[in-house]
Amino acid sequence: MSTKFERVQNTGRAKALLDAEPDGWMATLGARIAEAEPGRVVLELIAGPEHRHGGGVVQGGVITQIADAAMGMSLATLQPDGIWNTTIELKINFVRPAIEGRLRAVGRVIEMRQTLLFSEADVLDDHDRLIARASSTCMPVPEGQGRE
Amino acid sequence: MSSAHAVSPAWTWLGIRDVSADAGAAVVEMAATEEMANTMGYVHGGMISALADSAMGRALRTIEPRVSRSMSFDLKLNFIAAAKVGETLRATGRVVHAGRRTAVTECRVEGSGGRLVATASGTFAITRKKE
Repeated sequence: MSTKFERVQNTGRAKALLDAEPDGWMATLGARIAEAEPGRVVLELIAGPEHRHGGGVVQGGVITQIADAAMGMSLATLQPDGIWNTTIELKINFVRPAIEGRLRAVGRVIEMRQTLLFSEADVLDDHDRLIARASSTCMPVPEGQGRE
Repeated sequence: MSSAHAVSPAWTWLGIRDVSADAGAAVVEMAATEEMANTMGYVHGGMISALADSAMGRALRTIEPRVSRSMSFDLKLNFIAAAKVGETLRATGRVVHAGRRTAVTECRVEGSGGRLVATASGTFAITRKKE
């Protein structure tokens, strides 16, 4: 299976993401895909007690999880069918604490190269205040081998 | 605003110079010389890191209440395309968030023709003037 670089507007994949029922980790976390178009995917999570650590704020891993997914999916919407991606590196800044309410991770594509893909995500609260900012590097992989 | 700031020995050594500054953003430039090359003949990543760090530090000096002191304690770069010796690299630093003690910034480094060379983000410890 070739993973040769090819950038396409995969509207079909964007629509499939939007239409899919939350499954796996998304169901566990209570996250869902709120918006999806080629190059931009938004994940949404209603933060509650189940997402908070002992300090009373939403745990950083939860925020990282929706940011990572928004970034990977935004890249996937510009990849052809048969190819997905996997994160090989990720960095996040936690800018302010989140306690409850809707959190949105807005993923966008920065650059796509043959072997490396670059994306960023802003995590915003219900008042559009910046909660976290993330960036990641991903690698194209064949779709459907349990690696995406 | 740029002339109001002292230029560090490191800036002088690398030939980094101020281009422009706005509220929350600053642009600096560096001409990549042969001394800055890595073994492959491209501009060494550390040189690009220094430029990005400088642009983000400069951007912090444009916000209110004023930042009197800033030190980066975290710097992350993505090297997206190779930069060539002889190119002028332009870094645009932006303030993403500024609190009382820390600030989050981002940066784009572009080569000739606006080609994206690197993106960066930095976290700074800052001291701000009282309002």
